[in-house]
Amino acid sequence: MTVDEVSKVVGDVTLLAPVSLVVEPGQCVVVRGRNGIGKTTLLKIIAGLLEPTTGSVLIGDRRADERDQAIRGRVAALLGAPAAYRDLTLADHLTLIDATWGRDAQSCEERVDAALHQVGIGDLGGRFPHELSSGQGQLFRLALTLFRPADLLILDEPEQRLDTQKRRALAAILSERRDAGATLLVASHDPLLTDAIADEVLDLGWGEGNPEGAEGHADEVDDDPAGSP
Amino acid sequence: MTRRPASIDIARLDDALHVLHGEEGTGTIRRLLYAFYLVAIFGGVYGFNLLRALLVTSDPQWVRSAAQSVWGVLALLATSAALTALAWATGRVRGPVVPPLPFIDSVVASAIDRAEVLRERALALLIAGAGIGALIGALVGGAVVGAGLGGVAAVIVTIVAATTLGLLVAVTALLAQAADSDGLRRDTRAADPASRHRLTVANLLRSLRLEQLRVHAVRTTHIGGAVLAGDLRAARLDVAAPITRARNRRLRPGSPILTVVRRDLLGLRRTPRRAVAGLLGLGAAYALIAVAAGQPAAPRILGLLALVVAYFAFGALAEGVRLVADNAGTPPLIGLAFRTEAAAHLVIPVLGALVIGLPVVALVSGATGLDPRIPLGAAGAATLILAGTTLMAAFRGSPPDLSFVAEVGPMTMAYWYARPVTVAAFSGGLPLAALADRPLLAPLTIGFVLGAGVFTIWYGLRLARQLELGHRI
Repeated sequence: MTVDEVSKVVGDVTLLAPVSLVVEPGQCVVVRGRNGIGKTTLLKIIAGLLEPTTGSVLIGDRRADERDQAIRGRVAALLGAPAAYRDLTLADHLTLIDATWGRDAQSCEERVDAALHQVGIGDLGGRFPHELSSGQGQLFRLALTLFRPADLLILDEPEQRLDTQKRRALAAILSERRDAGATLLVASHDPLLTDAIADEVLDLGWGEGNPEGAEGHADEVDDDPAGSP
Repeated sequence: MTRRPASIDIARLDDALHVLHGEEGTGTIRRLLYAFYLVAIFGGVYGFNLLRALLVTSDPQWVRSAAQSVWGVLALLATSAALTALAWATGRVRGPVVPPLPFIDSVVASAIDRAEVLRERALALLIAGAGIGALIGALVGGAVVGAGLGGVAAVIVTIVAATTLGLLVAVTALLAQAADSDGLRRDTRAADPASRHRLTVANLLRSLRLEQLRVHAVRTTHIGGAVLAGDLRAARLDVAAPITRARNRRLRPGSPILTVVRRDLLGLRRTPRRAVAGLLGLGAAYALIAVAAGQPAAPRILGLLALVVAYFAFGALAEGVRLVADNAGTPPLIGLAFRTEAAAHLVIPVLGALVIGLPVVALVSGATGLDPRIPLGAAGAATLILAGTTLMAAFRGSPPDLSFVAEVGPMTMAYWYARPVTVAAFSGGLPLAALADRPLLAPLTIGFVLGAGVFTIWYGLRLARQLELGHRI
């Protein structure tokens, strides 16, 4: 994935100063920076949901644009809470996703149960979304995002509302996905998660005031994050 | 314990209202009466003439015999029952006696008798119920007399009947609100023990819990804001009861489209009231379509009414389409293209309309001795319009900028919300009503309705595409 001088300006407000980044398959980049610096905007642009004002994003050899079916097939993103069906249980939601991606119907139930167990809500498959606590709701949203096929995972603060144990478990899951060859781009304020999964950290800036002029730069992380969730 | 006399409560309440509103008082009843004055003028000028014109342009004999037949009486009773049921359902979600939140927290929460604090709002409710009923009764009765279908007695009968119904609806809504507060609270002040448990308006008001009033007040604000912002999902979620049925029944996977269809079926199974309301509504609407398209003497308004009822009933079965629209602009989870997913969610409501509607049309046509072929063709074609206008409604997006301009905002907003149902009523209802008069032109008319259906589906999917791309700014 190549991000080349991407910025976002609306009117005279700079939401994201120019950023460049190259992420190889099987690599994880954690995006950090102060509130309002443009982390979510960058993630939305890379997910193809927003048009950049300048620059371009390439996923493989295709421009990031979720209108492109091939891009939709490759990118899974958790950027805010997706609207859930209030008349479907958690297991039903995953079944629906599973079926619409054309997976084998016979083994669907096993995959659904495994996916729920993986994020630690295996015993909540029969609940409806309104019956979850805020932390369980976040785990459910993570399960939805991680369940669909993707080779680029974009997650905006996936650790929010999770306790320390769950954050460790999340780090293990994300490390596993990265080791399996998925590319990860994660905005996070959590040092524990960052230490555990980041191959590189992209700092968008920490200074006060307008994000204009904030230079995004990536630092390589030396230690092996896979072993320290 | 010494009982505090009611006069002390009244004096305290007066003091509180004086602090809040000054010498003029709340003005609730005064504003209500002024609203009636305006509605009565508009009703008299436009409503009376419109109703009279509808009756004059229909076959008077048919209208008279239909109104006096068993079916006419049953339809009237069913309408009254439906209105009362609607008042009950609405009252539980948003009761008719709900002051603003600051008033609840600072005055209703005080030790003043709750019946006194809420008395003016309850009085306004009863006046509104009786007044709206009386007004409608007077308009209908006046139109009947104006069209030469009855005498002055008809006016008296319609006024009395409609006023009674209006009061019944108002009291039902208040009963529902009290029921939502877990029952009737006894009047501990009453000297006569028997009256402590009496079902009176005052006792109903005393039974309202503070927390419920707060919830209803907050809900009112949320719904109002959601409606103004065009975010009907937020409004729907605010009024929707939590679903817990058929928890152990799992969605069966299959091909992508089939799984979406099964999802909608499972959703309806878990919300049986919505399913039953939708199917009953479709049955009633298609019965009206059969009469409107097959009976030359029927009033033209039946065609419009049929499509309006059908539009809302169809929508009750189309929750899936709306959720696709709600998810526009979010990262995709479902492995189907946006518009394919939307179209797949139309399968169940279309099947419901055809499976329920076509037999009803055949049955009603048979019972009234009409050739069922034309009404059946008309009903089938109208189903396409329902599918198209449901897409239009689901993917209508954000309100136009004009909605936020003070002078034209309310009208723009009303038009924006009403456009899909208006398109359904006029592109489907009017041609169908004209069919009865000109059966020879049936192929042309049904062809027109089919064309309108295809156009609305195309336009609805175009709106879906626009909404899908609209977030890429």
